[in-house]
Amino acid sequence: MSEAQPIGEFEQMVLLAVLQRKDDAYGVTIHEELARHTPRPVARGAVYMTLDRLEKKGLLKSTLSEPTAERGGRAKRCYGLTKPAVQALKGSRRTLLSLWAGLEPLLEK
Amino acid sequence: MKTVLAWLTDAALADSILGDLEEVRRRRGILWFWSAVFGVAGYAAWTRLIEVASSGGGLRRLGGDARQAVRVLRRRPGFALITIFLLALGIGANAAVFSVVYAVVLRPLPYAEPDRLVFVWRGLETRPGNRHDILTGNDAAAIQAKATTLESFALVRSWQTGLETQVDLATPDGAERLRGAAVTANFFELLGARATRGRTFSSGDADAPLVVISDGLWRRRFGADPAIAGRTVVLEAGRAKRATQPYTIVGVLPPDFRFSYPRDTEIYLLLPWANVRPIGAVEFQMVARLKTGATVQQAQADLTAVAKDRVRASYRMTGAALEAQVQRTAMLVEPVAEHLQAEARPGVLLLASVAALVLLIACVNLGLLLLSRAVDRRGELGLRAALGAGAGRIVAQLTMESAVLSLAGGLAGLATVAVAMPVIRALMPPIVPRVDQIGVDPIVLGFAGLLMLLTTAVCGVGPAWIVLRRDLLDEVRRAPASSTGDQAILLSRRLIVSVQVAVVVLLLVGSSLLLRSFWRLQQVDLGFTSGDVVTMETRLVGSRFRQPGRIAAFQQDLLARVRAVPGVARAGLSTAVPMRGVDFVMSVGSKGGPRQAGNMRSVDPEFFHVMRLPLKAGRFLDSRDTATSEPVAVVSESYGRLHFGNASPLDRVLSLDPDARIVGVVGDVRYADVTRDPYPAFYLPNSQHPTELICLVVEPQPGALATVVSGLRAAAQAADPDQPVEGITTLRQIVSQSTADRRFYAVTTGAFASVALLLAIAGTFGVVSRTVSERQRELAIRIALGAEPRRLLRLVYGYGLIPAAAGTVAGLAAAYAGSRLLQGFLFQTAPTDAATFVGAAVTVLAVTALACYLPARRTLRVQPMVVLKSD
Repeated sequence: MSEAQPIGEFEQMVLLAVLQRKDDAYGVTIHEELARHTPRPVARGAVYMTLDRLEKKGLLKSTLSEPTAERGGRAKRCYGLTKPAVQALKGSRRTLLSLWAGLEPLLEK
Repeated sequence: MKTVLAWLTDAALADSILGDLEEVRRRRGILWFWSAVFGVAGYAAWTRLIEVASSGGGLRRLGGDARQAVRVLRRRPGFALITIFLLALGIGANAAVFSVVYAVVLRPLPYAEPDRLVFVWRGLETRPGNRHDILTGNDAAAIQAKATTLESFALVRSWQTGLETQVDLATPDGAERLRGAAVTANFFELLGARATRGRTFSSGDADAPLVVISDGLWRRRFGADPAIAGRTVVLEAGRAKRATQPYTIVGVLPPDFRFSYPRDTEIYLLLPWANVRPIGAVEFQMVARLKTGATVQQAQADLTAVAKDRVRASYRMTGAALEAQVQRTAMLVEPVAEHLQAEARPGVLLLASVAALVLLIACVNLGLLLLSRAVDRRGELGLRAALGAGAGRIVAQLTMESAVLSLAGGLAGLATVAVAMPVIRALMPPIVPRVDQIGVDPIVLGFAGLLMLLTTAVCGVGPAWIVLRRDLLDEVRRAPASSTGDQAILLSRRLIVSVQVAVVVLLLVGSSLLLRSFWRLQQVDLGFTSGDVVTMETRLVGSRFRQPGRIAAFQQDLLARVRAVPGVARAGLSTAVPMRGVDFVMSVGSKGGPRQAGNMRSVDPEFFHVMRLPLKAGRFLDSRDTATSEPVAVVSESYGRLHFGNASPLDRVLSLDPDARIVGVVGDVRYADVTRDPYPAFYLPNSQHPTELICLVVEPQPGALATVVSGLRAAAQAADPDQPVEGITTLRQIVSQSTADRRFYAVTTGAFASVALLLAIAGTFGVVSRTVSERQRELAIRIALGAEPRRLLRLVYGYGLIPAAAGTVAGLAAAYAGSRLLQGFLFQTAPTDAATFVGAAVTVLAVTALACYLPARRTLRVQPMVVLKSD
């Protein structure tokens, strides 16, 4: 089993939000996805800085669309996961599930 | 801002971030856009700071520069203290104002996806002064059937709509009137509000007698009882048939949940959908959620089309009349956030602008101070260059000095604001919503942090410019000299004085206009006496008051008891107190004439005398007007003109039930608002038209105000302890409250303008003093050659007055161009009022001359031989 890159909690959430949004994963929709699932407010700045950091780590790749008038003549940067990101998420999930094993009764309390 | 973001992240990322925010701006507005940009920039700055601080070399260097900066500043404590004071003033004032702006305008409402929540109104003007109205059951039914842009909507009938859902809580001490609302079962789900105890309403609740209460009511009335869910309370509630019955409390709302501002709704009753019958009476407020992707404009067009279709299908008109009605029909869709802020936003933004201008002056003053200091330090900086420090290193050290000053000033300012925050909240006028959320929270701290960065940059520019624009090594070789030969520096000083003066003139013109307007407001003839007249309101509860005879008897008993209170000179009653609450509107006409809307007030005869309404013709209502005598009315002057033109209204008949003969004409009164012209009104005898809404007006004898106030509640209790009373205050306080916002803005801008003026005087004094000091040799030579004192004085005054004159002209031009923005705040005052402009110019030039006085006096005492020998 190859060693997956360690990723922090918020980085995981951002990666999962990118996966959820499929082909429509850019700053606005990723933030909306996170806001829908988390009880606490999510700072937009945190989302963008994390996307940038994940791209620099090689866990995300981005493509630019054509500029549109709706965006003030600016291109949209859409994100997608790289293979290392998928590996990192799988590894993280395996670790968490393994730690949660046998603790289901705690969830029902 | 793109440059700042690009510097903090990179150019490509900054571009796509701004593109994303621009996309959302179209839905959420420009204010949201800028707050989001600052939020992202702040976060990026913080991330970069952590990265720099985490790198070992960066941290060590930063620490060394900071220690060096503190050492340099400790050598000049006076300079450091003045600088820190100026920064504390500028940053503190702006942080305080931003805390208000953020709480009132920028902070998201406590609802799920608040940008998709809207109010829906009828666009017909059916009430005086309103541009929209609440909805009928017919409107709601049509929207339910045909609207395509709304995801869902809920209906509210509340104490704020003017058709009050009165909710009286039975307690051992008597009934307590609560601020209540009846809401449909999906109301809380629509807003995304969850209960902290128990639950909110659900679709399965049908028409059960259930209530949800506010956190404030839970703590105040129920002692924060943890077992509150399921508890039963006895309420008298509802409109047409007021019934006393038990209700079950199902839940408690979170402490930060608010739907009404500025006074919170305390109790929510379930409004069954079955009660929302398609009928024509206006009674519901509609709050709706737009479908994803639908805009406010699209929703407005959609709902207007639905309303027009309904008019075509259901109104009993044809032809041109029907088409005219269709043309007039419109629906207004208004974002909930905008509606809540509508009244307060212009004033809050005015304050933010004024505070920003004061910060500008503080920074400009600082720029002057630091520029002068940098000139003095050229030798020292040159020595550093000779020892091997590059220009970049020197600029970095100078920037660190600015940063230390900004940090110290910013922290001092924030500490002052934090301590003063309770006072700031208390000073807010009543129209400002969410006052309880004004505070020094992380967002305000972030804003203050950005200001500190900005002032660091501004304060560091001057010294950096000195360093970078000339060869510092040259400064070491040359003997220390003044800057008199440096034209660029002289020009900079004059420019700075001009800029300060221009900003001060702008502030003086604005604040003078506001103060003048407020003074004019105070002179308005309200048409009635205010002063110490005491008011008290009650709305009778209990099924025994369904008969008019019982109401009239209670009114007489209450009046008799009130008149017997020691210290009462006169007492009367009406259905409305000026500038508060409900004033009935009825469309009434004369016999055979058209119906026109007017305020209807049911009054007892003493009302006219307590309020000192002037009699213009005929007679007041009096003791002859009983329940069995001829039905009569008294009209206001404007009512008479509206219906009868120049003819006398006396003995004309109003079409009422029963018809009433007009027996008198009284002067108009400004009942709704001090700034609005009086609305036509007619007065009916309470003996012939008793209502359960009773507003007492009581004139105390001289010096007996306190006795009367304390005796009124006891008198009401004695009449009937089950009747809730409220609103015991004086007309003077009511009138004062009604203009509190204008007073607040006038006084606050005046205070800011005064501070700006003082700062400008200090700045000008500093420039002129410094110039005189630097030019001592030149002045000594002129005196030695026989120059007249008058010419020298002209020269010195010119150092200050010439740039001040240029700044005054620029300031007046800016004030002329921008004063129209104040139109909404002004009353009977033109935004280009000549006297105000002239007064501001004269004031600024006079204080500039004053600032030049001491340096000018010093010039006359120059002893040429002493000065020339010292060279």
